[in-house]
Amino acid sequence: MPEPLLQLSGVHAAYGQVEVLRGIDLTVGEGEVVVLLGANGAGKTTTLRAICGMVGTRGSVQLAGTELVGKPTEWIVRRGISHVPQGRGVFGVLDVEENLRVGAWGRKDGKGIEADIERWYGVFPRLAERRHQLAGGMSGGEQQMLAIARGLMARPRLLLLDEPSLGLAQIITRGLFAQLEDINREESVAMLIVEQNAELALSFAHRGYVIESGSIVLSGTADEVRGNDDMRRAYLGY
Amino acid sequence: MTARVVLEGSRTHRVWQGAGLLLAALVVLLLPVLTSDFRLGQFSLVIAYAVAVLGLNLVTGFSGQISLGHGAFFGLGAYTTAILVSDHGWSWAATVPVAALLGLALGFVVGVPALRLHGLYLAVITLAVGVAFPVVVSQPIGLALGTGGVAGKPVRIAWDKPAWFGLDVSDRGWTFIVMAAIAGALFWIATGLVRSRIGRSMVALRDNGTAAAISGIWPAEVKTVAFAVSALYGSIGGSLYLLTTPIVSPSTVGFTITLLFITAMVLGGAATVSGAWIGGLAMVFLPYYTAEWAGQLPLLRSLTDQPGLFANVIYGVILIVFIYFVPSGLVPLLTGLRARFLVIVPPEAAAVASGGSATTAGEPDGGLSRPTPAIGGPTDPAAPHAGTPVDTARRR
Amino acid sequence: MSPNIDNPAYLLQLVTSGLTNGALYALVALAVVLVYKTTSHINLAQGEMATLGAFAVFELGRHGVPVWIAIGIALVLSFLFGAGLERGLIRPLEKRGVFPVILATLALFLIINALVAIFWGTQPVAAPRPFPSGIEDKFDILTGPPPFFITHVALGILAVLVALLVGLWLLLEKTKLGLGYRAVAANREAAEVMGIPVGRMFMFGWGIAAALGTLAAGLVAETAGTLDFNSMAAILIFGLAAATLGGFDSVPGAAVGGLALGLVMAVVPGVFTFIKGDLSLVIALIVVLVVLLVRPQGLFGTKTLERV
Repeated sequence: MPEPLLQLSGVHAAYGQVEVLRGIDLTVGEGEVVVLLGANGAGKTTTLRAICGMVGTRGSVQLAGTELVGKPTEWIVRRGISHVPQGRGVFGVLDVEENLRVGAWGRKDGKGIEADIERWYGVFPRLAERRHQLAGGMSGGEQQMLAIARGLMARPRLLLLDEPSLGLAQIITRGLFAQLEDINREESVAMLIVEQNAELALSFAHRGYVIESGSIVLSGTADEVRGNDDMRRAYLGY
Repeated sequence: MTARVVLEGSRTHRVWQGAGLLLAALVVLLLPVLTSDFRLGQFSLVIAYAVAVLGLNLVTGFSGQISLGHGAFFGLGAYTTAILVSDHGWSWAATVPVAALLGLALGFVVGVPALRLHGLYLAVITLAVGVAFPVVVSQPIGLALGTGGVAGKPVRIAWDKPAWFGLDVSDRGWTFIVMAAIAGALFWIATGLVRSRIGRSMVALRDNGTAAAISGIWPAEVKTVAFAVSALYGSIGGSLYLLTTPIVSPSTVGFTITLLFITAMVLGGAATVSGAWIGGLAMVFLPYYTAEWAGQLPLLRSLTDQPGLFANVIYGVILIVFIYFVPSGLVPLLTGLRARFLVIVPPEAAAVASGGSATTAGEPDGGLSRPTPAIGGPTDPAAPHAGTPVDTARRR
Repeated sequence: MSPNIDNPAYLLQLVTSGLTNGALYALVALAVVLVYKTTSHINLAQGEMATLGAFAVFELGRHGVPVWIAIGIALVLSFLFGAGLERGLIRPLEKRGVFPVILATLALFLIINALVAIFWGTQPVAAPRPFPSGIEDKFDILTGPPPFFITHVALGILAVLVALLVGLWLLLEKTKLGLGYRAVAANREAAEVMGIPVGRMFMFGWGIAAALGTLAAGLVAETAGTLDFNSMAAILIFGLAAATLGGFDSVPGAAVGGLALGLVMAVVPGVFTFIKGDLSLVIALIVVLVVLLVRPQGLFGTKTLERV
């Protein structure tokens, strides 16, 4: 088996005295879509934050063999990870296009940046219509599209998505996931998705993990995870 | 060496306390017998400053509100006393309640915006009050009130030692003893205040405003009281100041003295009562010895004819050093030292660790000198820019 | 009321002097805002750092450096000094909250103020004069009586303010550095996740603020004709008041706030002449109080301060 793109081994993370992750092992392969499921407070968001160096972390997080633990966030994200944070975190007082340019902060290829901006406008036409509007004034769905497009502007090898469906209407969520699927297929961007909507996420993920109280309790292919009885009762509701 | 464990409020504790008080009284009575009038003047000034610094401790240390206008409260007390004594022939003692009430009123007025405003806005308002005060007293409006303008307000307060007082002390010594007695009472009241319900509310509010509000503390009430009491102490400090110095001028009550009060507070320990004494000592003796020392070094002497400026540099450096390395001030360090010999356990803590060893004993001072996480209390982890503790600790 | 209330030349003169002073307050307010926007801190030593910068201009001038070149050098030095202070002194305190940082800036205030007085004395020195400031250096507009004229100094100060605003606007809106700065100001954590070096943006803000302060102090000395170690103490209060009025996180707010405050402080005593003496600080205090109680975020500000 080739070396995975992202490998977490024995990752512990704590906010002050409160330990939130208790030895997480997780991998994401090149071009793979992996979903991380779990209840509120199980440690899903913290796992993403640990990867980005945004929380005090022990253990090992490797991106294509490079150790990330102990490195500053800005260094980590320049290694090819884009983090689309929960609640989107768009820059409300910047306009849409400026948000996209901030996403391309680490890139030096001016022409490539312009081309990518146009490309994501093509994928998300709503953003093109609003390119000179302040991001803060847009709807939740539009902000989510912007956050994802902004994340992709960095040309990441790995996209971390934290609750992309949060606060979105069902139909918008479906459209969003369809687009994510396209992006994954065409760009072979690997994705690690934290999602409440387990059904939807498992329908396009390759593999899944279930986290409980800071530990991985179940992992397998999307079908295996979906087929697990405990899993079904807990997260799928049937 | 094992430390002695004493239960707070127990008989042994009272004996220790009594012994401490007796020792303090003895020092106060013996100083005038043993030292010169010059030194007594310095110690009297320590008392005046310590009372003012204590006011700052109450509002900033205990209730966590930034006050950058303490010099104005100090000045209000000093000017009130000076004008009433010089122009209206009042006795010093009669002016003190007036100064205290005016201080209370100004503190209340400054505290009212604190009801709606937090942190930096409050800092800006108090800063403006502190900077505006010396300007107002030197303007025509101040002159009309009898402030004496830029030149300042001279005042002569001379006390004769009463015949019934048995000790052979000078008039200066008698003044010192009276000042010490007044300060003793003020410190005793402050100790009671911080241990009272309202004092505990102040600390709770400082540490976690939301939680305090939920548990039934009324923030508005507590904050305004803290400001008013703080100003009252500052104002009385100003009145006491005139027993040591025969003039008050705009330059005495400028922004610099506010900065020195703040440094003094941090030095002793912001969230302590007794730290104000250390602060007062520093405010008097640090410039004195700095000037002496700078006067002896030809290099420094050639730079300026005002060696007091070197003291300000040292104040600034002390402030930075303490913020970085001793954020809770000297008093908690000293109580830590005392705890190696004598541990005072509050009853609740003793109940938990019954028969507890010396090392696990509760906090000295009944938790008053709890190692404060930061000056003025910890940051609210939920604050918009503070981030989570670990998160910020990890940054860069 | 002033007897000259219906005299246009008198009123115009009030407005001009108000705007000139207001431009100086605006510069200090801009410095305060540029630090506040990204770091959420107020640098209370801003004024003292500015005084130090103005003395650097003075010192260079004394050694024969032409005044505009001296100003240029001092601006660069101030930028480095400000950025260095942020990195060396303020950043380590960052995680401990607002209060330790305020205390550190107060300590800086004490130290710089005293050092300036030690090295350059407590007596005022002749200010460096970048603009022609003789008695005849003015444009007569109404011959009067009373006449109305604009001095070259006033014109120069307003021109500097306008040039600075344009320059700042270009820097913040049209450069990548400015984009990064605004991103950090808007959402620090998200900016970090984008790979923006947040710390460098803090240093940038402090550096620009220090340079602006130096410029402001130089112009304050120019208008006063003299420079001393306490030159900027009151101006800092006016700058803070202007920043409060405009909104602590708004660059245009700082400019408008400064000009408005300058106007109020010139026109109120000029019209209501029964106000005796210089109570400009009191007026500034009242402006701050009214703004904070009526509209705490100021005229153009967005966030409200919620930190203690």
